Amino acid sequence: MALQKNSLDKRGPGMVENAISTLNAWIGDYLSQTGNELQQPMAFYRANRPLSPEDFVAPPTGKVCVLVHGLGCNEAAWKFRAPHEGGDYGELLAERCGYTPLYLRFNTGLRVSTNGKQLAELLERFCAHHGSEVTELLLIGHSMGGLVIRSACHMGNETGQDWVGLVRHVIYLGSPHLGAPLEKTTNLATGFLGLFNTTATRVIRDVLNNRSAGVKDLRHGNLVDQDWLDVDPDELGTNRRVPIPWLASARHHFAVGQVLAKTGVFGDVMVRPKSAAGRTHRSQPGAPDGSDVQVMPGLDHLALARHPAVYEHLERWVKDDG
Amino acid sequence: MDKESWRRINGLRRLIHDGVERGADFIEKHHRNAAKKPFQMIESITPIAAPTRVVRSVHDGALSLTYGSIRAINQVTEKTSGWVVARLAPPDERDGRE
Repeated sequence: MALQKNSLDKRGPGMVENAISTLNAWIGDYLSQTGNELQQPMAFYRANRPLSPEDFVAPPTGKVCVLVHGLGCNEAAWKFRAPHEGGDYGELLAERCGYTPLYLRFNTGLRVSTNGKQLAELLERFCAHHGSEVTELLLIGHSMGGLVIRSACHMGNETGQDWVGLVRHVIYLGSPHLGAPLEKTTNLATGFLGLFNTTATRVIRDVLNNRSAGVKDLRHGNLVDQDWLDVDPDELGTNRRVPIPWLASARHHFAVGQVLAKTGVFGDVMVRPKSAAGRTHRSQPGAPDGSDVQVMPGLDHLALARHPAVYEHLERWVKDDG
Repeated sequence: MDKESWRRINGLRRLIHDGVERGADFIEKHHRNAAKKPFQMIESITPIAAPTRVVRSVHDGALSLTYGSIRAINQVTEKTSGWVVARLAPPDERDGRE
């Protein structure tokens, strides 16, 4: 089934798909281990249907943008609140900059590194199928999606995959490069509860520790298998992340939400500004020179994925570079 | 109903049964743990240690029976619901099932 245009069918994910995405965030690793039909396998989606890379026609301009959603979301996360605002980033980039949008949907309860590997393989298949007809890749990741992109770029680079050389821009929208406070707090809370040997504390701790491996990866922003292999996932405060370089051949851009317009103290509620801006932290290298960090006053974490003001910067970033 | 809906129904069915199984394990573990302490304390009082041990055996037996029954009923319903879904689902989905 080759799809000629995006506009063939605008049907997007409904309530059932949203519920499945949330379930995958919570216990997606368990669903995958047990081969449950409710797991959300990674695929590019169009009109609420999964398509293999071979199902797409060659991008007419050679330019492709890949949109990778965050934890517990699906491609509905990109839809602007008001229809008059123009659909979503993918549609606007198609209309105004000639990019063919590919919307990824995946099981966010799996390890970031597992999703990174799958994304790298998917992009390799897409680019191998279309050969020289793909000339440029733009990767856009919201929240956890940004980590999955970084992981995929690293693994693709390490294994010499061809698509990596086509990536010119990577855009991170509120991605927790240095971890997310909510997951850190949950880890602290379960560690604290572990100090008390009572039934109530044990029950609460066990229930909380049942969250998926994908969620636990957000504690420190894990990107590769070495970050979590041989580490107790519920151990208190352990950060064993290995330094992972940023993809040198691409330009990196960061949108940082600031829910209180005048102060960055709360970040976008879910991610702190330093983390979203990919700053240097201990052994972790900061974003390379030439990276652009755009603070978005008044925008919370979810709004970063679907706000016209963010789109303006997206367009500026991709156009600035010709 | 399309193939994907049947897959989801089957997934939900399996998830519910997994949930009951794991939930029973979880509650039984904590139930046993919660009961352990008071029994240990009472058993340390020599004059009532022997009858307490009997009560504890009865309690543990009742616990195993209760949670065991929940698991057994769950397994029977899982098999039954699996059979019903297999009968109702379209042929290609039936063939694809484990």
